[in-house]
Amino acid sequence: MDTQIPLESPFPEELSVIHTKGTLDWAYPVFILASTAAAMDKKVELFFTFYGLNCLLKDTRGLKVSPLGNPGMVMKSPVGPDWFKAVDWNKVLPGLVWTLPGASMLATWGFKKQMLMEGQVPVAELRALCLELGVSMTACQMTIDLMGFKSEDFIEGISFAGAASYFAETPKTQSLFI
Amino acid sequence: MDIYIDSKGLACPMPVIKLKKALAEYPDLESVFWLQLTDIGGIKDVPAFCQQQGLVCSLLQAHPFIEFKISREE
Repeated sequence: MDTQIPLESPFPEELSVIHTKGTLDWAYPVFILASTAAAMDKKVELFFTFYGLNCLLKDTRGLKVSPLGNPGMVMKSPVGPDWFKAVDWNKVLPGLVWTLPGASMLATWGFKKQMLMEGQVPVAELRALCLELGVSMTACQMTIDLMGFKSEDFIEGISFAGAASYFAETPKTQSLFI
Repeated sequence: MDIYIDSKGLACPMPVIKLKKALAEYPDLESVFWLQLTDIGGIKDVPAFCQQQGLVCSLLQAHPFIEFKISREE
């Protein structure tokens, strides 16, 4: 008896990401990957838990970036003369500097300006594009309660559920943990 | 019908997203899409997207900006 072996598609048809980071630099990769995968007709399921919930808030001003404890971050000024813009301040300044008041505000301002200059869209816009492209987003109910958020703090178009719902929705997918 | 998509100055993933939106807006087989971009990664990403979507894609130029011609048929 012949046994038909189904040919595997070279492209997984589903992508899921468990997102746990609540900073601006980490918000970008998840929405960039999700929007691209959705544009390529993949079913995309994003599950936001713990600090990742910050990425789903209506107010994205809380998404910041800091060189403190973040040695991989390249911290260059988006303004000033060329020699000044070439300096990676995260390499030349001692880490203690980033504990000063206003340091993360300055770093966030520089990061946003740099992203816009590189042609990147604001993170809220990228997130809206994801929803428009059919990306499904779920906020983890347990961590919403744990962190004291309210459902009205979150954007429209997302769902609220727990880990079991996430696994039920994503049986055979390419999954990433960010 | 010729559709011109200007995504010059926009970073990944916007050129591909703009192309996808244009494809959805003009679903007819005859539409030809002219995509212009400056994102260097697009040189590989746009053909990869087109191959996966079953589109015909040719690189017309890489300087001073990248330009692709994309269609649903040869």
